[in-house]
Amino acid sequence: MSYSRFILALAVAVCGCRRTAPIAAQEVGAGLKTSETRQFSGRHRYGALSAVFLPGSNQAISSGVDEVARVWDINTGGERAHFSGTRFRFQDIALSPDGATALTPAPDATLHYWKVATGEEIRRFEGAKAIMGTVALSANGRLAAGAGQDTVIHLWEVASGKHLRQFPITAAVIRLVFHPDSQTIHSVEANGRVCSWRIDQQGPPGCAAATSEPVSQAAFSQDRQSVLIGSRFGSLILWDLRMRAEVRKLAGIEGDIVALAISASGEAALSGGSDKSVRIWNLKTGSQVGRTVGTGSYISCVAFSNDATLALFGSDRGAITLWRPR
Amino acid sequence: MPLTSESVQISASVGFDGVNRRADVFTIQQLINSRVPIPREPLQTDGTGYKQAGIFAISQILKQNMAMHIPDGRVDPGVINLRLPIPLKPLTANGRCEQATIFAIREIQWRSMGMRMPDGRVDPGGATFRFLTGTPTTSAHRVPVKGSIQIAWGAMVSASFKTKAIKIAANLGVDPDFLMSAMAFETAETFSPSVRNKKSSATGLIQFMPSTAAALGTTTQKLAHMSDVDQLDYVESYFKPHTNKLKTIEDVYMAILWPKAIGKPNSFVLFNTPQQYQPNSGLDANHDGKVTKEEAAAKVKEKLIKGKSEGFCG
Repeated sequence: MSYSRFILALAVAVCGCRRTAPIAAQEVGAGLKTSETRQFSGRHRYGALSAVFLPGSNQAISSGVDEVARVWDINTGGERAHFSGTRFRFQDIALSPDGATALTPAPDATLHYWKVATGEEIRRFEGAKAIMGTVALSANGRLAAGAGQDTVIHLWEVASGKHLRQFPITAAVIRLVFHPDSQTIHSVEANGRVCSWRIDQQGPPGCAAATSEPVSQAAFSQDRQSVLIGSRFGSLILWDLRMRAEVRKLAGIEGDIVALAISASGEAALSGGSDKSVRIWNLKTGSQVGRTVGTGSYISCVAFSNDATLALFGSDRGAITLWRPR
Repeated sequence: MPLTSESVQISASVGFDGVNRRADVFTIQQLINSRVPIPREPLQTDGTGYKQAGIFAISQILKQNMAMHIPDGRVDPGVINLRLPIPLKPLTANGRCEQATIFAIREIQWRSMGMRMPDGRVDPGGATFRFLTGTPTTSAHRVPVKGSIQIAWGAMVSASFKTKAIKIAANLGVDPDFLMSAMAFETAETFSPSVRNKKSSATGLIQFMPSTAAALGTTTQKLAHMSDVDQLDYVESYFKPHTNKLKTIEDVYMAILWPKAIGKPNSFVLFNTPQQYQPNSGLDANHDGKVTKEEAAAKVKEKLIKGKSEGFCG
């Protein structure tokens, strides 16, 4: 079987999440024609939770409820390595810009900072009282943040593992990122509140209510100028973080939005949800420009490549699928 | 000797998406066969339902399939026994979970247990298992233990489930009656960890949405495969952000349905846009095109009243 070759600048994209990072152009032979999908040759029992393209390589990593993190070869769809243990069951992942280290939440309300190549733990961050569903690494690599069910955003120093401070919030945090200046944290809460926190100040954050619907997922653009917010009712809202105003409403889906990702350029987005479909959206116009259907009852995670030519998605049945949407 | 939960156990789930260990499947097939109606001649469909033969047939169905010890021989509109069991053929007890076994489980869940969304699966200690072993209907199960705390729906769940639910309610600062009634509503009174809405994929004790499961580091698939007692940990984790904020049954239900309405007056409008209203139009009691907090929680309040009544409270 011959695979066509193409140049692909890989970005970081996370299942159920966002996050892109600067990456070197990489030649990757995914061998997929437009609109084609290829299911990887293995699955996470009881469902996939997250996945990410590893920058600067032809690999991706995924995690599932089976407490296994699998490293995939994008070219062949085969598994290159896997790490198992409770801490490898994570629903979010923040990678360092070079993709060598990862920050992930664990079921025991801790965060783990580890080497992607070996799975070796570098540091553990403790202090939260409930499971954290979202994590973030600052661009300068000095700070780690996590938040979730204990209605607190926790901040740690990466080098020492010291818990620096916490920010009280009003609801569970759905998504959390650092601003590129490493001095601000942006958060989206389950009650529709979008906030920006200055980590060197004690004052109240700048917050605004983006939606009245229960928020189910959110994805921030790489430049942190906007955030795409999905709800349990299937609506999608593009929100401007600087203006604290709605940019536009997208058509959305019928059902629960479970996974979102924004491309590095900020022009395209991926959504996945309980309608079993993965959709690609043009954020400039708000229109849907592509769609494919996954296996299982719902799409549990989606990820975007840097140039939006490749997408990765997982389902509640545990299959990980590569898709070339355009 | 009748099969009961004391004399029969299964180690893991049986049926659709179950673990389906051979010995467990064999046990469930035997339990189903013990409940399969005795084949009978079809009644004459002549409209003379008052005749002794017709009354006797209904009584037999109620007795054999609904564990009704003194069948009244009557089918009332709107009540559970209207879902008359069809005469299932006895299963071949071979320990293999084939379509016939799953079909039989679904039939029993739908027609005899009144499940709105039968999942075709029997979980250890779950509602279907308790039904098959006759546990929920035995008077011993419903007799309150002297000195123990009585809670709504306490008689319909296992002692370990009840104990854990009370502890979780205390941790969250919630009335355990409210928590139990919300779960009774969400599971159609089955308290099954695997009860699932096919359209939304919402699953389990509080109908976890896929995105909710993801935020808690799991999937609805996994939730459906755990025991009811284990799933309570996820119920607690879900409610944790609302600790000490849920003082009314309306607020407890809002934590599941529409968290933004917690602490708001009961007249607060939840759904008024077409996208929100359409799937929830059944809750609109006064048909004014809006669903208020009070209207949305009305059916949960009904569960609270029922759960505190004799036979359900325990």
